[in-house]
Amino acid sequence: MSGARPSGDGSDLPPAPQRWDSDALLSGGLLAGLLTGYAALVYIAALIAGTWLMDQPQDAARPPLWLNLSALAAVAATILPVARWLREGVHDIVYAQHDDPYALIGKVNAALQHMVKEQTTLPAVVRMVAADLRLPYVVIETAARGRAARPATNASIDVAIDATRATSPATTPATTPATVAVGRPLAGAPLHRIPITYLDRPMGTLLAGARAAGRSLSPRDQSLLGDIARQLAIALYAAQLTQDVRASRERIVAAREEERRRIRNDLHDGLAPTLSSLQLQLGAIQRLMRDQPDKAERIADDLRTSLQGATSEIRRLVHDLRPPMLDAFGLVGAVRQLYDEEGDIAFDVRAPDPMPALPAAVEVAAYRIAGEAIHNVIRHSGAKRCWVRIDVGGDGSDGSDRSDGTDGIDGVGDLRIEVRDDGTGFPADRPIGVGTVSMMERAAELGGTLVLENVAGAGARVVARLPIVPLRPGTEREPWSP
Amino acid sequence: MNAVKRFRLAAALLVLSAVGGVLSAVRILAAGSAGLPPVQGAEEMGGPPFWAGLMFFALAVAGLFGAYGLWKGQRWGKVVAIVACTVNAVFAAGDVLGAVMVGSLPMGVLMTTSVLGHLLVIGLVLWRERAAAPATVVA
Repeated sequence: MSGARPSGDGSDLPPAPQRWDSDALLSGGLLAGLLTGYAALVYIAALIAGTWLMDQPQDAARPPLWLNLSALAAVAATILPVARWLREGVHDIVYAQHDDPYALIGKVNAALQHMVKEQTTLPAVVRMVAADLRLPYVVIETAARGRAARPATNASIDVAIDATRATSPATTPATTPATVAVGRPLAGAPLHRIPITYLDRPMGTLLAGARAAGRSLSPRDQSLLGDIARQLAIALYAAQLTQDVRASRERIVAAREEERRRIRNDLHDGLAPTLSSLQLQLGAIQRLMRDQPDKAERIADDLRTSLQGATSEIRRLVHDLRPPMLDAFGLVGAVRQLYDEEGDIAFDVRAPDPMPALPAAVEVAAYRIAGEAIHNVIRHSGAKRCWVRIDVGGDGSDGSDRSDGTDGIDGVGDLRIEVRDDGTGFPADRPIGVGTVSMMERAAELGGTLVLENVAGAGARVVARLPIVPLRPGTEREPWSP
Repeated sequence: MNAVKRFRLAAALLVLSAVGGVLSAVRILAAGSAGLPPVQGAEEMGGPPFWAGLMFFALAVAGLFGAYGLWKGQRWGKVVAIVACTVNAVFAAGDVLGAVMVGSLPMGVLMTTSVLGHLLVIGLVLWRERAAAPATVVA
């Protein structure tokens, strides 16, 4: 295996196979004893057979040369396969931890339960496995996260981002794969690769080097390593979730502060000067309305124009906080307001009727994602038709079924929005733009997923899945109806 | 048959063998240093010596310990069981030869059964499972 390197300076190596260690002595002694016993048994069996053949039982005490040679030949002919079988069995008994194999599982589990950082816990686990199973070489490779796969061909691109794990590349750097290893592989000894997966997500790989050249680990060893890999998978997944939650919280705080700064700037730079100006204009009107009513009237006209500007500014601020279209038309109606029905592209919007009540955050995120996707279709796709599908899926426990056969995310219901067109599709060399990053972030903030892909044949598709956390009691809203 | 059942079956067989060993050892030891009379038809070979009684007794006790360790699935139990069974099997095979030489069919059958029983115990302890494992060998 390439890439795996011992993590330490050699002081943390497991007990390397030594020529005269106690296990080797025990193994060799047992094997020697068994082979001696086997040879004796074969010899005695040959003598018994010869005794019958000679029909002179007493001659067995002084066997003739041909009988000794026959016994020797029988031993020589069978000793190798028997020795191989005996050696494997003895090796298992001496080296494999048969006494209490799940004690190791318990130790690994205890270590993983207190895992604060992968960097400190995984080396301890690797050492534990190597020492308890007397393995010369053990490696844990953790998989990278936040992958964005690009296609090799120019025909299509497939950018699949698992927003529950990866979030957006703009805000959270993807983790790099880590390799923790102890010991060194023995020359000629097989390496066993046990995938570490959780919920079909590859979390890494556990590699174990066999104890001797040309001999793989016993099925029981491999089964035990498989159990350890499962424990590792759960712990790694939990650790990654913890990291994701921490990163998500940081992003939420940063986003909130950014929003506050933007609103403050908008109020300070836009609305506040306008209101000050209005105050000055009102003062001027007060002073002039008796002596110079014509001039006061002109200023009043300017005042009305300024008031209209301030009102527009307030509307823009409000719109940025929550699109008023959502309150006015509901999600589906608001999405229909995003395009011109008389335009060049024929839009087809389909959604459940009535649309169930959705949490405000999901509704806003869905509206923004749909808006960005539709905006991209209009501006870049060259499409003639565009299909928008809004679907609310159950958690699979209520028997609800969706047309694409998908259930909710992680056991809760979800809102699925698909925007598909028959245009030119995403160009292969298209960089991830601000709009795409924004869509990813909106999905990631809610623990959802976003997939952008080209459709075989023609067009592109954007699919967002947003988990619907049940509304708290008292915050339910009626299903929207116009 | 899973490992626990294999080890327990081997332990049960080993207990039977050890009990038989204790009985024959006690029989030899009770006869004292004068020893038991020789087998009929093989008078020139003489009876079993006193030290054989001591050795059989020690082997039988070791077999009982080994059986306990096997029952508990302990590594030392497997080692002791293998050693005891190997020695016992060789001695029993020698007795088979002796039985053939003197033409004693019951003794031959008994000792052959003993040899096969001890080999069965060794086989059960050393047997490697062939169950499918989740790992793949990569090099």
